[in-house]
Amino acid sequence: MPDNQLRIKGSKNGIIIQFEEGDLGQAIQLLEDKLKENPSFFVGSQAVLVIPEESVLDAQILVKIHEVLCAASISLSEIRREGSASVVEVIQPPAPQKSPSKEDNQKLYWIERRLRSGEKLSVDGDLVLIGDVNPGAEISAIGNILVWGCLQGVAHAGQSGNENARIMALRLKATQLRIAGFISRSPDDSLDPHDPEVARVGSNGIVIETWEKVGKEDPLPFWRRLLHGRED
Amino acid sequence: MSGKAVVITSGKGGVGKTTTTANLGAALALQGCSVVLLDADIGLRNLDVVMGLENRIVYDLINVIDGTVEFRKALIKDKRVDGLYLLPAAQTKDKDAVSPEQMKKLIEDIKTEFDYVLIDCPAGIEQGFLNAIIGADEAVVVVTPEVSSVRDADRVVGLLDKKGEIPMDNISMLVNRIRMDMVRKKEMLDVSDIEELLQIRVLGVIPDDESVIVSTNKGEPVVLNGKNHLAQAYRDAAGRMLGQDIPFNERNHSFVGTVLRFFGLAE
Ligand SMILES: Nc1ncnc2c1ncn2[C@@H]1O[C@H](COP(=O)(O)OP(=O)(O)OP(=O)(O)O)[C@@H](O)[C@H]1O
Ligand SMILES: [Mg+2]
Repeated sequence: MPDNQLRIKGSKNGIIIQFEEGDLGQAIQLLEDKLKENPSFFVGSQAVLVIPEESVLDAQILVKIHEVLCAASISLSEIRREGSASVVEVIQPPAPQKSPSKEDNQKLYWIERRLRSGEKLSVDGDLVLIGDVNPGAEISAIGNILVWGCLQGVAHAGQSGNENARIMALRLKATQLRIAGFISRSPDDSLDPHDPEVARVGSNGIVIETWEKVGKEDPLPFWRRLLHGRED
Repeated sequence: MSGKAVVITSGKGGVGKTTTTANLGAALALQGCSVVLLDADIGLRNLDVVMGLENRIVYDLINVIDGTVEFRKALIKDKRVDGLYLLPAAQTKDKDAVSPEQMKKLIEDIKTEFDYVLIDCPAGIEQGFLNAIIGADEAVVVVTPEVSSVRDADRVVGLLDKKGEIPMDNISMLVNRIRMDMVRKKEMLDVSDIEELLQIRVLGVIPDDESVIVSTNKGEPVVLNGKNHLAQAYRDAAGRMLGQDIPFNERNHSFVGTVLRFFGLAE
């Protein structure tokens, strides 16, 4: 395997892990091997991951990166695309809370991209997606889903059975919504929603309400955590 | 010299890729560019029919790829416009007769001698599609105002982007077969609806018009018929491709424009 596929550099804020052109899966494998050679070397450090300009990050790869870094006790602060200043994904550790419940402690994926027809994104935590989900695209999360954009495809929250999970979108026009085992499809006469909406499981299956209403009645731990995490 | 290769693609079949390739190519040649139209729809071959050049085919793409002749030898010169050439597809049944590497090399070669290579892509997203996009620098996605066409166009844009073959800024769309009467009655998607979903630049808007069928049967792209009102829409699209700042002519679409045209008061 070519050794130039991976570079690890030190910087004043931690380490920079750079994947060069080529298969991301292979680069991750290489990283895992390197970290195993010196298991204690990077313990406790912060890492910035730089990926090639044109590589595709899917949830599977993200999860793998997390696993490998976690095993070496390295925390990932951000992922950057080569040659671009913009951050692709910022993965924030959950803000500490007084009595965190299990659901409150989920990983948060902050992803900025548009999902086009045929594309799928799946994460093992909460998902904040900055961008639209076009018809024919699918997103799913173990936890909650917030789409800062127009959600027109299929969304599945609480994928492993959490019925308290929510799906929120600035414009909720999903073809189909799923929360845990519940399914609702878009009504045939659906009007274009103007207000942000939230879907949750009610006593008769999935109900959709305005963001404002739900926020007042029942402030969401996920949302609170999100705002909290962004403030500090 | 290094020209540009532009693939004309759509995902969905029958939306007007071949018609667009012929007309954009002719319009670019009318503006003084040297243009090769490359029919990458191997096995079907109809760009030559639309161009009315079928009876002059001696060699085709496969003969060039397998080294029987140089590409210059296989080019058919269009006698109606200076600088316009066609490289016809083969009617072979073997879809794997061409590899992506061979296609890429051929396009590189043509680009050294011509300003534009327009590649007429087959429908679908299989091997033929991959062969057609591999050597392209830019893409024009042809879309009709129908939900299924827009959905396929969205998928194709995602694939063009994801494979890293063509950067998002080099992908534009051409909305074909729009009927303003239906748009006004909200029976048809509007250009802005499609734009909102696809989020790419609009290169041109071509009305639905039966003169396309007439000209296809005659083997003469409508853009060569200066009087036809679609010709202007194609010329505008070609102008935008060349970087000219051409406004979208609302007059062509508005009711007033239609009335004026009807009474011969406007073009
Ligand atoms: N603007 C238009 N107005 C009316 N008819 C049109 C227009 N554009 C294309 N057509 C007609 O639609 C049909 C399909 O066009 P064309 O062959 O260019 O599509 P295509 O995308 O190349 O198809 P394929 O996927 O089979 O290669 C033709 O009969 C053509 O005459
Ligand atoms: Mg065709």
